[in-house]
Amino acid sequence: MDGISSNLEAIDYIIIAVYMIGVLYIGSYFAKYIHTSGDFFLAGRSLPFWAIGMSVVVSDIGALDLIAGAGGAYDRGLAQANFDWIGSVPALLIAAFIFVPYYWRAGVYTLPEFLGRRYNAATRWVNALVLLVFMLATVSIMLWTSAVFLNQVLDWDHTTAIWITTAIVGCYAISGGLAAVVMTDVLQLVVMFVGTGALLALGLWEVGGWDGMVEKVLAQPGETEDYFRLLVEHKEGTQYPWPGMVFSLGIIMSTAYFVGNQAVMQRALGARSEWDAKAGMITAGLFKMAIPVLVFLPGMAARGIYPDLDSSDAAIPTLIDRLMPPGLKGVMFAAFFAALMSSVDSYLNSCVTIFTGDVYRPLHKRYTGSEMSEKLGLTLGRSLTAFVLVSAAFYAPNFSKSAALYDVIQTLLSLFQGPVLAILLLGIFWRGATAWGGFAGLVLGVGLTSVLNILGDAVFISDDPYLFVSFWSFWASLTVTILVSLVTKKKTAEELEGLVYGSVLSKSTNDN
Amino acid sequence: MSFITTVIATIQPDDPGMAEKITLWIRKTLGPPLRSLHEPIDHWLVSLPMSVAMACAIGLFVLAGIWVWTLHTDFIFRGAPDHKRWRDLRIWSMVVLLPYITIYFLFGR
Repeated sequence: MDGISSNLEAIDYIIIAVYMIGVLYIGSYFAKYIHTSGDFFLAGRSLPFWAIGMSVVVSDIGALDLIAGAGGAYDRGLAQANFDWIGSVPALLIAAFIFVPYYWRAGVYTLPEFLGRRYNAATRWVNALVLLVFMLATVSIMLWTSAVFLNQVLDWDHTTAIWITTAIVGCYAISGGLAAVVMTDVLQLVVMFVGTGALLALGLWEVGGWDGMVEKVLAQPGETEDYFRLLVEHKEGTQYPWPGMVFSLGIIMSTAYFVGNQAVMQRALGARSEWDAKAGMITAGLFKMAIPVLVFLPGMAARGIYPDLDSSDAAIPTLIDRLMPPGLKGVMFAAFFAALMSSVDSYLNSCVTIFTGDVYRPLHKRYTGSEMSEKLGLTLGRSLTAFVLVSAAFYAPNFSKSAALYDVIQTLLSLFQGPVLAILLLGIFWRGATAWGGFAGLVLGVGLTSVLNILGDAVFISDDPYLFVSFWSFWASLTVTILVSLVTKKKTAEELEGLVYGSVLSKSTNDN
Repeated sequence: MSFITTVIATIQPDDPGMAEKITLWIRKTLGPPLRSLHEPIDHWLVSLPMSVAMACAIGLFVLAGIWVWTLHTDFIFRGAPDHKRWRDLRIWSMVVLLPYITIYFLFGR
């Protein structure tokens, strides 16, 4: 994005400053409503459906996604949209009508907590540890990404940029908790949609509308015949082949992502009623429809206008630089900040929730024999938010050199997705799933995923073997869990009360 | 880079050959038998016309829509302040699903 900063004018800086002040004001406003740990972690169970839906979507889109997502669309075309369409909507409905009411009524707040109660403590600790490491690293790398972005756009040095982002996010995340995070997300989604919407309109205008874009792209040399198709043939060397997109992404990977993502589930659990929680997930499905239109279509328009860019990731910056007038550039940069901060604050809040709920709370009970008080929970939540954020800020510069470490963490998480979904589904829907069955399914599933990841193109013909690795690891874990459960000791009906689907949904308790 | 090779390369940066040896061994030993298992599935998937792909994608949305209508009314409205028609989440699901079905019908092939 070199060179863009020199084209920013006073009006752009004013818009960015007004946006920042607005975020800080909204975030700080909610601090006065925080009196207990429940207020801090679950927004006092007061969130309306529309805020949940908007927050789920904007938390899922980072500034990197804006650049790399549009870049992917510049390269591969419409098939990129599958990640937000078929890779989101069926899973969000499953989350809305199965997992959200289940978590809500079972009184479960995190995925590790459920795994611990349904299977055993070891499964809970392993899952919590993996999620914690992943989220800590994610906060760090997002801060580093924001520093790189601010360095390129506003010429700030990296350290200053990291600490300014940390200060702004910290101001509202520490004082206002989940409510502040979600309500600032609402503003951030609006800003993001306005900025990307303006870019889409300008891009399509420049390329000659939809027809002009199709004509210009199809006339380009190379394989462009699939550019405007959502589903691509399954053949040697294909990127995003349809069986992977429909069966693996559409059913397994997306469900595992939305159900196992603490940031998503925590918003639903902060709803003012079970109906709002479910409606929030469906609303997210509606807003998800706009993401490929607003983010990926400009990337495709850039392919029609500027077919010879050095890097596909330059698609969006080039459009901004060459097409956006002063004022709109400021809105677009505010949209980038929105994408950055909404992701940092969400992961931060979820990370602290898992640490407090799955690590500190069980230890506190074991060593004191009593439950953690509301006051202690709130103090701990705020202190940990500050601690995690500052630690992540200190560690962030390391990611300029050690990308391999982040790869390990990302891959580690992906290894768990298929197997965790398998034992989660069996744990909820099958009374016969045993502690040893779940443990064996998890361990062998992760082992198989590791081996299949190494094998990659030696087994699968697609250029994206991870789509098929997730699919097979899910079914392998499911099979192993069933087989081992058949020959190991089952939990009694009393032990399963309130944990399996039938017993939870038959509970007469209402949510309000 | 796969998980195991990345881990080995991270914890044993002085011995990059180790990760490569393990990777090669696994690919040599397990690659051919697993490839022969997956090959018939690939051949079958390659032979399917793209109309099947579109039917599967649209079918996923349609199935989700049908499933939602099998849910009990009390379950759908639980927690809602009233049972007004606009609060019926089954209708919301249809409003969300129909545009996706249309999009995959138009751009699936």
